[in-house]
Amino acid sequence: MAEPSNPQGNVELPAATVWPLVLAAGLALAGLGLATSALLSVVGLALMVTAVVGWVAELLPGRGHVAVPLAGVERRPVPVKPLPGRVEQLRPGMPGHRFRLPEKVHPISAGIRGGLVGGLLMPIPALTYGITSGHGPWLPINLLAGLLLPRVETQTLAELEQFQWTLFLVACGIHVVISLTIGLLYGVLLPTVPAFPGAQLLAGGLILPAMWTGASYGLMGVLNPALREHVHWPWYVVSQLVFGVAAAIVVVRTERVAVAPIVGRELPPAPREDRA
Amino acid sequence: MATIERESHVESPPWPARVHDWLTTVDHKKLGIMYVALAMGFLIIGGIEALLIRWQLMWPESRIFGQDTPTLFNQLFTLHGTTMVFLVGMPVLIGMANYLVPLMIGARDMAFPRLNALGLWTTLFGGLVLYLSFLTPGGPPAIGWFAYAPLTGHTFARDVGTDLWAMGLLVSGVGTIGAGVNFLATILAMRAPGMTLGKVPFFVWTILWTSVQILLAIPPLTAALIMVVLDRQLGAHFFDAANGGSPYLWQHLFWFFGHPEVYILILPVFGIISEVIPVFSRKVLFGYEFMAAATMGIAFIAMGVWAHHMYCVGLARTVDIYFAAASLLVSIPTGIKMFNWLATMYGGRIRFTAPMLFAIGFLAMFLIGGLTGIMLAVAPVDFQVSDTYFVVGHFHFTLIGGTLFGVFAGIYYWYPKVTGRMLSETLARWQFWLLLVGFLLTFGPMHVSGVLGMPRRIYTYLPDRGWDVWNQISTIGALIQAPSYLIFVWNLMASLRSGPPAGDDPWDAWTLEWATTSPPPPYNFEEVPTVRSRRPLWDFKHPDDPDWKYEG
Amino acid sequence: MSEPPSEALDPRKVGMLAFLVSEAAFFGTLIATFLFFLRPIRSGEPNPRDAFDIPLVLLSTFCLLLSSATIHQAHKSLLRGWRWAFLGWWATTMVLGIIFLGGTALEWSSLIQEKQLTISRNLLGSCYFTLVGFHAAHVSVGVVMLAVVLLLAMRDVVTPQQSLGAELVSWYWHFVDGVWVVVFAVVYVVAR
Ligand SMILES: [Cu+2]
Repeated sequence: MAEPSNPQGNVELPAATVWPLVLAAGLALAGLGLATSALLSVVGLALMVTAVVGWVAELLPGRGHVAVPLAGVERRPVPVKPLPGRVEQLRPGMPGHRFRLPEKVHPISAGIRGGLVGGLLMPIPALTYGITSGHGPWLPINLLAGLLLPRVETQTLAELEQFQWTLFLVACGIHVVISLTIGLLYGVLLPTVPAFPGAQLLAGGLILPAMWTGASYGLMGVLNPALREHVHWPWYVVSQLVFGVAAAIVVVRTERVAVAPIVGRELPPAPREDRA
Repeated sequence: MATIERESHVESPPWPARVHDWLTTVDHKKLGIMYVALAMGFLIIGGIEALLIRWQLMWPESRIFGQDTPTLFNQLFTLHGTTMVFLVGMPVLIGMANYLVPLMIGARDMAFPRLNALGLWTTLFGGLVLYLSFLTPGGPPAIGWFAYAPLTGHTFARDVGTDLWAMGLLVSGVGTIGAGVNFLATILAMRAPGMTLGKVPFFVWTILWTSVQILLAIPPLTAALIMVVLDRQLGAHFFDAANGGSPYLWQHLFWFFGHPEVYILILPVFGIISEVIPVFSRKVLFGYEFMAAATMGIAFIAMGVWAHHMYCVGLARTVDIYFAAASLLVSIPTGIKMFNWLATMYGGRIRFTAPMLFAIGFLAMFLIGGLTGIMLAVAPVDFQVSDTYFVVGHFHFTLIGGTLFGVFAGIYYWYPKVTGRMLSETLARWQFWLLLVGFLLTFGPMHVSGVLGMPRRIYTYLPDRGWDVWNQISTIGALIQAPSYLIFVWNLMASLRSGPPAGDDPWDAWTLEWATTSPPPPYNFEEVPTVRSRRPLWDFKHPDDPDWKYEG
Repeated sequence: MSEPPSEALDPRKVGMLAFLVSEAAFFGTLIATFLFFLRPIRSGEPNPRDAFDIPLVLLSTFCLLLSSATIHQAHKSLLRGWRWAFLGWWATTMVLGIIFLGGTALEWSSLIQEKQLTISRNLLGSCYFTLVGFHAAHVSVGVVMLAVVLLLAMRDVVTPQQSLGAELVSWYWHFVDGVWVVVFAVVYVVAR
């Protein structure tokens, strides 16, 4: 602690004053008068002038301040007690409370690999659906492109069953980007799942795919009307689950690495003296 | 603590002396208490207005005030909105900041104590001028809280109520600007030795940026209100379309103020939440630097998104796109904050006492309000639901679920410091659950009735629209909410006498205000402490493991 | 109260700057409104091209700009302890401010009586009288503050050691001059 109180044991504080109250009342009366009767405004203005004069007078050196004596000893603050070694620990067995959570994470490459593997396996059920339903393998691909390209929903079913270069490329692009993004998210999120056996697989293989499938069920009419129109929900759900399970397995099987510990420095920062 | 017992033996001065003391005080703590008390008084008034509005909408084709119902209904929602924004939201936050900022940065008072007093009194008198309209022949204004032209023109509002509305806001605006100036000077130039701007408590940081917004947003409102008064009193033509004026200009000017205003009402609450969550999770605020940058980002972006309130007047398409994109941008810094609060709680040893309860309520409710806000920022969605109950539901989720829940969290947290007494946890729980359930029932269904097409501000509706049941749930929800506020006020008053003594530091917290007595002496600190980290009290309590070792 | 060391921020200076920022936002709104309503005026109505008496305005503008220089000189003299120079420059500033207000008064009376331009006549009147009126009100407040400082200086309350009040008043005065430059450009140049 620095800056001892002054030798007399007094603190200089601004004195109580009525002028702010009077000024505010004058201002309100003046405003009220503008809307009602000029007489009120005159009174308000007079109050304002009086208040400003009184206020300025208090700003003069040597006025407007009082010395407040310090409170009696029994009413001083209880000094803050240093409690060395009493740092509350977040978890038993930890050296202190300064650790990063989660303690171990998957490397970024795990997320990328998970996304890639999931992305490679996911088309299998999708294409299976296309072929077994008789629409051919291109329909699911063209429908996916409708997420980005306008007017796909205006094509007829026959057109959508044909191979189309632009749609194919766009669909591939969308597929890769989304697969990688979700894979990376898996890498970050799965280590935060509570640690009981199989929890990570459950979260990554079932819960998360169920969540985004539900969301896409609600939003697909807006995001991708073409897909909404032609989608076959059971197969759609199966492809999402295949992705989720594959990505989760890949991510979970990767070796986790410890997070760099937080290291403190030894010397305190020099306090910047703002005031003398 | 012994201090409290001893206090009751000290003879208190006779009441005229005490009243004089409060009327002339320039102590930031007393002014802060009066600001909050003023806000609580107006909260009850505005709440009664809301209950009347809900009661009128309970059944289709009802007229609870007989023949006068349409006019009275318009006056009620005008007063309700104006009161809640200008006389409850801003005063309660300015009041809390008034009390806390000097204590948190180790100062003896605000930079301009007399200006501070002026701010309180102009807010009070501004409110009185507005409510004096009840005594005028035409009654209160019936123009809505954003007072679109030409409703404020002399042709449509011949009575003096509208003038009093403008005057009241002008007068209280003076005080708000004064408060902004005062906070900036205090925070920038009166911090304790060692407390660099990067080490201020997070609440102080949010008040800094709130003040910047006050200084940039309130003066345009002042100018616009002056134009309304000139139009009405001296026959100017600013908003008078018949003579070349532009009602559309009023919308721009009002919302140039109005949008930053909603951040003036929420940024300090972000600060409160950022103080409460770490202390009650026993962890450092996660990502202070990112939180600080996000606050700054919100303050800047918020100055450039106002026209998302105006999609339906027919702006140019490019203008729509710009304002939609800019508004959506706000969700990024806000999202950063949400995730950082969650990350602060993650792995922490959470104490579910009243402040934390309300903080968690804030996180959940404000999230919903934020998400519907993102929907409304998208111009095509807004075309569909603008000026419906969907919008009403949205902003009540941000203002009650956000601002009010946060304010309650803050009051439960700091009341022991202000009074030296703890509030009752039992009553707090009753209040919380009644408020939460009542709040969800009131404002949740409004999203449905809004999507079904119910416009806001209609005084009644026909029974065949399918709106009845949603309105009835809303009204029942309001009736469930109402007692929660009474419980709160009762808790505040009863605990003043009978609450358990709090001691200096009941929550084992880390910012400077907990280093002095509860309540603090007039001069706050005998000795101004030297600060080395963002949690000075942590450093004092744990010299073997101080924060300064880990802060940049 | 002792003056804080020079490198630390002084709350009073920060407060004055913050106040001036809010004033800038206020005038910014009035100026934006003026520009918003710049449009052809119906023939027969007073319009910016022939309503305004430019030589008169130029003269009062010159006085106001000059007063910025004189108040700067006054402050410099105060810091150097040249009491009489300070009083002289400060009083000159005040006189120049009063001349400016006189110019505005002349302009208004000619506009109202000869050109029949009033605040309720048309939008030009509404915008012009509001913008120029609020600027003149700020100049008047400035003149009053100058007078108060002058009185205190004559009673030896304003000294080189206690010069902050005078400095803050000079900031306000420079700000009001700066606003006038923009108002002049908008009202008398762009609007034509
Ligand atoms: Cu907005």
